[in-house]
Amino acid sequence: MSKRPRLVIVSPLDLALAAIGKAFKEEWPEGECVNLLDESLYADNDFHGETPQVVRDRIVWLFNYGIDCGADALAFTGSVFNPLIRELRKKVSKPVVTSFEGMIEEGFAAGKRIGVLSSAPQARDVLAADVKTYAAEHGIALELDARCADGAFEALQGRDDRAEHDRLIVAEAGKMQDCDAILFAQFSMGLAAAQVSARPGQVVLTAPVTTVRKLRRVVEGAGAKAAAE
Amino acid sequence: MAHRMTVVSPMALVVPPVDAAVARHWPEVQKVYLIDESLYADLGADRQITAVQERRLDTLLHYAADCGADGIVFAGSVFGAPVAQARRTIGVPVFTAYEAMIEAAFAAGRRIGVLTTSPWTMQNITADIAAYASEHGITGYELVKTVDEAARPMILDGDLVGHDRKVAATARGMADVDVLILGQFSMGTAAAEIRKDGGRPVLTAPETAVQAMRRRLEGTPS
Repeated sequence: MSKRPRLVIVSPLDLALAAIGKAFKEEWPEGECVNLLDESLYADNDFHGETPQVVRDRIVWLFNYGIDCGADALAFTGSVFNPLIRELRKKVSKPVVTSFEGMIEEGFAAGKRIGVLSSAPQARDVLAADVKTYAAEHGIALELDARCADGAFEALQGRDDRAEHDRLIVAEAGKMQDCDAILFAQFSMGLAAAQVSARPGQVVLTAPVTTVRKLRRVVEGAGAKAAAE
Repeated sequence: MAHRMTVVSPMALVVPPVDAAVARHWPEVQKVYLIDESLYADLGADRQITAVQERRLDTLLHYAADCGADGIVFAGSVFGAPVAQARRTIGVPVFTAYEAMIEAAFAAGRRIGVLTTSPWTMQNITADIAAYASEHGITGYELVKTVDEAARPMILDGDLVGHDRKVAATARGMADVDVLILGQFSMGTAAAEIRKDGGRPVLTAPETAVQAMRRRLEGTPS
C-alpha cells in the first residue's frame, strides 16, 4: 500500500476528537485520521426510547459519506449507539469499529476477569453491556466488576477540577486488583488511566488508543488478506 | 421553538470561538456542529479546490439542511466560492465564512485592517472583499494587511492562550485603521485580548456571522 490508510472517525460529540487525534499520533502515525462530527445525532435522538428513524438514516448516511471521502475503515465514537452501530454497519461496504470493541478484545486477551470503570453510571452500564455481549458471543465465562468513581464526573463537569477527577478514578482503580483488565468507559478518562499503577499482569485500557489499534488490525489484516489472494 | 443554526466546518478549531460568539450574541439558538476534516485533508499543495471537493461540500450542506438547520454558517476560509454556488439550491440561509464580517467592516469605514495567521487565508479574504466591493459598487477602500504566520503553529499545537496573545501583540501595530477584521474563524477568541487595548472596532467572523444569522432568522436587529 503506497498511500496512507485513511480512517474516518464519526462522532456525535466533539469531546472525542482531541483524544482520538492524540491516540493516532502515539499508536499509528501512518494512519490518516479524518474526523466527521455531526452533533445533530444527539440533538435529535430520543435517549429514553427507540432511536428515531431519522437518526438511524443519518448514521448510515455518514458512513457512506465517509467511504465516499476515501475511508479504508471507520470508527464510531458515541458509545450510546454501540448496539445500533453493530446493526447498521452491515449496510455499508467498509469496516466500522464501535467505540469499545477494540478495548474489549484487548481486555479478554488479558483474562476473563474484566473491570469496568467509569465516572458516570450511564457510560458504565453501556460498556458493561458491551462486555457481556462479547462474552456471550464468544462463550467466555466472564467475571465482571463494573464500578463508578463517585463524584468524579461532577468534579470534572461541575467544578472543572481535573486533578480531583483523576484522583478519584485512580483511587477506585486501586480497589480493582482482582481484575485482569480495567477498561475505562469514557474518552475523557485517558489522563487518569496513565496515572493508574496496574499490578503486574494487569492491563489498563482506554477507548481511544484501543480503537486506533483495532482500526490498524482491521486495515492491515484486510491488506494482508488482499495480498495473499 | 429555538432556531437551529448548523455550523459546517473543515476543522474543530472553530468550536471554541463559535461557542463564545453564540454565548455572547445568541444564547437561545440551538447550535449544531457538522465537521468534515476531509475537506482540508484533500486540498492540494497549491490549495486548489477539486471538483470532488465541490461535490462533497454541496452534499454536506444539503445534508445539514435536511437534518433540520434553519440557517447554516460555513466556517472555513478556502471555500467561499463553492459555498456560494451550493447555496443556490438550498432552502435555508447559508452564509460563507466572511460575508457578514465584510459587510460589517464596510459599514464601519473604508480603511480596513485585515489580520490573518495564514497567507492562504489572506488571499481568500482579499478576494472575498474585492468581490463584495464590486457587487456593492464600493470603490476607494484601502486594506492594511498583516499575516502573523508565527501564531498559526501555536493554535495547531493547542496553545490557544499563547496564540491569542501573539495575535493581540501583532494587532497593536494595526491601530491606524477604521476597523480591524480577523481573518480566521479560529482567531475569534483573540478578539477579546485585542479589544483590551481599546481603539478601533475589532470584528471577528464567528461573532458577525452569528449576529447576522440572528437578524436573518429572527428578523430583528441585534
